[in-house]
Amino acid sequence: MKGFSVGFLCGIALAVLSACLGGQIAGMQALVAVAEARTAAIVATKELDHEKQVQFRTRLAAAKTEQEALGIKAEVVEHNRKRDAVYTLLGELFTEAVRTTRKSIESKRLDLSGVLVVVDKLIPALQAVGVKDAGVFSALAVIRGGT
Amino acid sequence: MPWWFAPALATGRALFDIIGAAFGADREKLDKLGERVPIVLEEGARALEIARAAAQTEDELTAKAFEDALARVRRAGKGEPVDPDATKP
Repeated sequence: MKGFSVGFLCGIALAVLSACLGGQIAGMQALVAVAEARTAAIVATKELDHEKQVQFRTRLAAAKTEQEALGIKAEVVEHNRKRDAVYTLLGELFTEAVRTTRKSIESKRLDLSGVLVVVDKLIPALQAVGVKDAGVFSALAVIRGGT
Repeated sequence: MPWWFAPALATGRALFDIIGAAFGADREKLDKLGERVPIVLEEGARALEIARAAAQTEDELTAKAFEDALARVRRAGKGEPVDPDATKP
């Protein structure tokens, strides 16, 4: 009966290995989700920026006083700052995702912690700029779920 | 040879084959996902480049709109005639 026990234990060990690989797949799916969410976030931010800039220009064209024009200009500066912060974070996310992919290929192990640090900064930045795209946020939620 | 040797071997092999098949399928899935990541990231890189260029154009247009608005309200303040097209964004 000892052979049976050894066989059974080997089976469990293989099942554990398989489960580890399943974890890797979940991680890799999360990495694909990172890349897709990033593209969606770029498109959403670009569209929103265009809408906002058109609104600013319309308001500037209708401004009656210098004070009003200067007030709008201050809003423009603030909006542009938030938008540029989003683009910087999206750039960082690219660097981090590439680094994670390369590292995971080398070490055969996925560690998404670096990606998650950027994602945690990106979510409030997107909200601050006014992105409400549910697709972007649900994709980012997939990333969190994949870890 | 003990009586349990043959059934133990068969069970072990069956287990190995089942898990091995699952393992192979998973490996294939993992490789496919690994190939997809750089492709999607590259698409995103292009999208970001386009978005940044668009932002620059938007900024220039809005800056010009501000300069125009400022010039217009200053002219109006001095009682000078205002260009009717100036109110168009």
